Amino acid sequence: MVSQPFTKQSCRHRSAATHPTVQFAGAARSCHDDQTRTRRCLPACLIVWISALVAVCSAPGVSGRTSASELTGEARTSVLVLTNGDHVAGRLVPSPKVDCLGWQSPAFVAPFQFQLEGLESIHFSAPAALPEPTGSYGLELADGDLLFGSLIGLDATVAVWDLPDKTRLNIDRAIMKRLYRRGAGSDVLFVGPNGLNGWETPGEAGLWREDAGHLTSDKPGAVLRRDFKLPNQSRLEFELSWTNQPDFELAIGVDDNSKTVSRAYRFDVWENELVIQREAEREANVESLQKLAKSSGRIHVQAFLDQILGRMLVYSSSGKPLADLTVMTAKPQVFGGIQLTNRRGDIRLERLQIGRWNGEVPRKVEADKSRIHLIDGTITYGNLTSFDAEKREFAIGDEAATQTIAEDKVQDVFLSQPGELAPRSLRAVYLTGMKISGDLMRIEDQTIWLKSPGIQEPVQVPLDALQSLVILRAKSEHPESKSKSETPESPQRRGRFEISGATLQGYLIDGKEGDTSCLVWQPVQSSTASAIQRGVSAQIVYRELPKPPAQTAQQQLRQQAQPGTAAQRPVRKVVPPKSTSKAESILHLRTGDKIPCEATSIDEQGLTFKSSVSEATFVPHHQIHALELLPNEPPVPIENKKRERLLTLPRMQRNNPPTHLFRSVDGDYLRGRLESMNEDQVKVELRLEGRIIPRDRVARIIWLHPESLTTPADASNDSAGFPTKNLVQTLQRPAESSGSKAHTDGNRLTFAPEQVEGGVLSGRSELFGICHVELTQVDQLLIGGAIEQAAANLPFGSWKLKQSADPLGPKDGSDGAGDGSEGLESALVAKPAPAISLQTLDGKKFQLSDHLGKIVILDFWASWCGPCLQAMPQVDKVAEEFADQGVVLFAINLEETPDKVNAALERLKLSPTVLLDRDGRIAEKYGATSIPQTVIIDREGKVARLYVGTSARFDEQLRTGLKGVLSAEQPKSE
Amino acid sequence: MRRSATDLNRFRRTTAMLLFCLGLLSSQGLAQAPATRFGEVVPRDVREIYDKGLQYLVSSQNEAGDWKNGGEQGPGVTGLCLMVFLASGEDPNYGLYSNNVRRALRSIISGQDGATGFYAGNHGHSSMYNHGFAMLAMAEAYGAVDDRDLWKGGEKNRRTIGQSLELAVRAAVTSQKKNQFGGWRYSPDATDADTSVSGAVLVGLLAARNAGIEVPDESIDKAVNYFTKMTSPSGQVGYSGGFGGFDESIPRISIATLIYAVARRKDLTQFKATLGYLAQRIENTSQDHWAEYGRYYQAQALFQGDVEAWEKWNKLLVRQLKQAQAADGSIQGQQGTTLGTSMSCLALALNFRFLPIYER
Repeated sequence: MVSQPFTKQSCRHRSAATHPTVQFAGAARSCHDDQTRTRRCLPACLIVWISALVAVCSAPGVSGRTSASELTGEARTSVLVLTNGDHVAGRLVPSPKVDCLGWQSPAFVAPFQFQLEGLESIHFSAPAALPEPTGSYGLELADGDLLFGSLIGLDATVAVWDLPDKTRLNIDRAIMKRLYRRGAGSDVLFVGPNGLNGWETPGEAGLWREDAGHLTSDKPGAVLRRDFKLPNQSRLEFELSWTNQPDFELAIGVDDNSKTVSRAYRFDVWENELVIQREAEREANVESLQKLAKSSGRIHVQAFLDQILGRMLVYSSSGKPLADLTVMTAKPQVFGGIQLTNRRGDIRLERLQIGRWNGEVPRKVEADKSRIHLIDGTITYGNLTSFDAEKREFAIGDEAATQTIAEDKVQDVFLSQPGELAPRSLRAVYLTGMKISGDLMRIEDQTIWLKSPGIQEPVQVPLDALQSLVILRAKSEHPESKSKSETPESPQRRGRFEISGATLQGYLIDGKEGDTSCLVWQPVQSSTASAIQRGVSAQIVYRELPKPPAQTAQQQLRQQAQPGTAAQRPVRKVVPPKSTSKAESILHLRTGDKIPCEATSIDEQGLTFKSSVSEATFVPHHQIHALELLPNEPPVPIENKKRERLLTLPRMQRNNPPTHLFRSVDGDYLRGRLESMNEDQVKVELRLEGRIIPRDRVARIIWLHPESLTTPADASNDSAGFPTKNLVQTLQRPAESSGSKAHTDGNRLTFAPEQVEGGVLSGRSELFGICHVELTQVDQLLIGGAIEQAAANLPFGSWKLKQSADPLGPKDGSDGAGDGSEGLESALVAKPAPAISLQTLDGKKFQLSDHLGKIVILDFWASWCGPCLQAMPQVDKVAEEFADQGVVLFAINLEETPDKVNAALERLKLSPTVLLDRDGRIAEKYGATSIPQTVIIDREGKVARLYVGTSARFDEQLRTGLKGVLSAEQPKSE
Repeated sequence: MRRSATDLNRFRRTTAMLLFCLGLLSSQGLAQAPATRFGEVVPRDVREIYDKGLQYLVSSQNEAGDWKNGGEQGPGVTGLCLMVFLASGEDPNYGLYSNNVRRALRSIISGQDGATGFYAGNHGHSSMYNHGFAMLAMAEAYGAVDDRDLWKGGEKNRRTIGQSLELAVRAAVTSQKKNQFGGWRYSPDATDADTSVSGAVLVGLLAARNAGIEVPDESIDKAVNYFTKMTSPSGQVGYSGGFGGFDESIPRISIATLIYAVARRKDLTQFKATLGYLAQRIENTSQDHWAEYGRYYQAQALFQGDVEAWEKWNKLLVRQLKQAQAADGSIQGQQGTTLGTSMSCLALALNFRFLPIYER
């Protein structure tokens, strides 16, 4: 294609005006993207779980009391990904069968045996520093494998190859695709991408992920950048693929300034065309490279770039010229980076090789012939016949003649194209970027043994050298066709086991409590089942819970209404329903258990009730979370501010915190202590005084357990108040939930499980006795710590009392005042002191401005303020000490009568000049919302220090402040 | 009977110890409604907590009559335990605890310095706190315990209760005379004063006076005057020196309320201020700080000042003690289990009103 330079002004190729179809196509695509994203979202989360898993495995207690690190015995963590989107952290263990992988998850007692066909990959977390590839050669094999190492010998049939770890391999010539020299003297700068390490991915985490050493993203706008220190003349070869209509941009020669990206050569997608383009200040150019498939596809090109000359040559992977552009910028510069942006759809960077370029235009290549590219750019065609390891020479020739070429002149050797490839079941991707595929022979001693077609020896791959293991399957095999790999359909109900670091679809099969838990999980992809480790916090989801309904417009309006408006106030004084059937009550326990009941009575010990779902008829107070006496009462919204106040415990009540919260049918709340309840009355103690409330006025009672009382600093005390480690909780939703109750969850039952048999989970509840639950009726089964976590989200879960904050006040031995110990924190400091014009206690006029040239201490106080009275003698004494240096003290009394002031001074035996701030305006000007407040004003009339509060050593603090003010003025006086 | 510096320092930080109250207004007091005068039905919880506490004190008393199981010890501690027995309602001479009562009395008296009258203790663990509480206990025992056969022979300091109490009063008055503030502090020779020690000694003196021992009016007046100076208009009461009242200390506010009431000075504005402060904050107990000391005084202050408020407060006390009491009957306190248990029981003992000092 011949390039057509065009002017800058016309270069609005992505604007709707000139390319309306681009916009249209983009819009149409987004719909499609959404569909595919749903399908791909699980793998996309992989990076997130890998990092989450590192946390799980290193933090005892998160996944329960079982230490993952004990089970894995290794520092690196690994995650197995299944074809159905499941994933599970753990480690590879030996498997008796070659078509299975043994996998031990820390959440389970015994390993699972997963069928290879059901697996997608295993990812190993990357070490802090990635190992560098070593070896003088790179060898590309059929099917994408890549070996590094040394070429020891080569003849017509076999190459002898030493891997970097000195393992010697005999490799069939038929599978060798390309051999290239790397390392010293070579022009290769980078072979990758080798995972995300070293790449910048601006924006939120998880936009890009690694897969089989490739980098891939399906997030719109995801950017991948890396500085390769590209030389001025560089050669790049890359391979990109996608599964959906592509829309990306690859910019070559950039830094982290976005301006350089817009000036760089960019491989770009315009509609269904791949183009190379550059826009400079005065000119721009673009050439089409190839048409792109609308669905999945790939490109593989080579590019040669001279940034100073502004020239870019593009060739196909086989050497066919595709484009030759020169666009000069005003100030040519060399930028070392590359940036790939996924605009929409998905993109995968599979290969990136970067090298130096000598500036010569590559010669024309007969791509289908075997040949040697020399360092000087020449190409020699002919079959490679041998390699002499001693002479370091290649021999190349045909029937007519043979020639030798010294190794050090060789850049690249292309061998004849391999024919039909033998299938293989998995590929090991090394941390160095090396890749070997083959069939699994065995796993032992943290080593995986592969039989790779075309390599005579079994290849042993140490697990600690791996980045991932990818399961390969025949092209025709759809990765999501699950049926083959799944165990035969179980008669049990299928659910999803979820734990931090794993989701595994499967079944709870029969099990009995014994040495191990009776909860035995059979994943659908595994040929074996295992008991769940005791103490793990997990859940089994059988039916997703519906999300709470969005607020109605009316509810929103109510909450948004301004204070004082009629809409904000709940409707009050509703006539209570006359007939309240006691059977309507709902009992909520702290475990999260929730049962309908008839609340008979409450006494000092607890609640007596009757319920169709419980044999027990009594529950002690410490187990109760709430009792909805009139659950059908319409909800009355409560303002957040009011709720906050209601749940804040005043300091004076700390030793007698209310233990219950009562809500009336009108929506009024009352804090107090529930003493008893009978059919007609609720007896309540309010601040140590008894009161009686008619029972039909009380809509609900919430228990405020003292141990849940939080301090402001510790706001997240979500303990359920009892150990849930060895319990399960079943959640059953009513079969038909309708209307306004649709969002409420159903009954909850917590008990210690004892056995699973025939789809029935049985156990014992401390409260309800023996429990039998049919798993077909269960929506969710919470295990261990998950019960406590769920309790925080239950109805009334957030109704917890918290301590009010302690006031700032004098404390013996404290280092400073309440705040601002340096006295320099106030915004008033260094500003002109607000003017003061007041009467003194003895009736004289006072103007602050009359005291310019003196250092003035203002002490804001009142006789009702204990800390003020404590501070005053200290302030008075310090002012006296500095009197001969021009320091004067004025005590500003806040809004009190002269009588009170005189009485206080009499007690204090002090006689400072007192200014009467009768309306508090001066205090307001000085921001004295808390007293004592002490202010130092320098001789120029500026605020120099401002202290709020006092302490036992406030005098020292004030002295230091005064000395600071005095020393600051020394230079002027000298 | 000089205390060593070490002993004094031991007590220096202990803000609190205890004590008691007095009430002895009995015979000359204003007429009370019978219910208040003689007590109402005692709630079961009160009886149970008290009995368990008694059992703990019985089991932990030494043969010599004192208590030394960690925490504070000395004649004041022995005196407080002695009062728990006296307040139990059992006959001190023939009842269940008569032996415990006599051993405790012998322990206190035998540790008294014959020259000065100071309850110095047999092991040197003393202070004016101890002296005050021991004096109070002796005053409560005086007239109630038949001491004719208190001594078997051979023991030192074989004084009667009355003789001992007279000596003790003399010691307290002598100490006060040396004090610039008209109060007391840890050492009998101290020139500084604090309201905590002064409260302990003054209540002891008032109890002795009410028991019929001669106590100079001047001494009482000076001490009450000291408290008025330490009381701020808000009702808060300062700790040491000659002036204060800037922070909230429920024990000190209670002490001041109690001494004003027992000294028959309810007319003072300071009494109204301190009682008002307490009555408005009956839920505010010293639960976290010197809890036993606070509840010991708060019970008596409210009882003497505002019976209705006391009745409400008492419910909270019972609730707190029920929770705080260990299986062996002990109640942990900041000063050890002996003081924790004895002071907590005495706070409850207002429900029985058997001791003269618990009369209004």
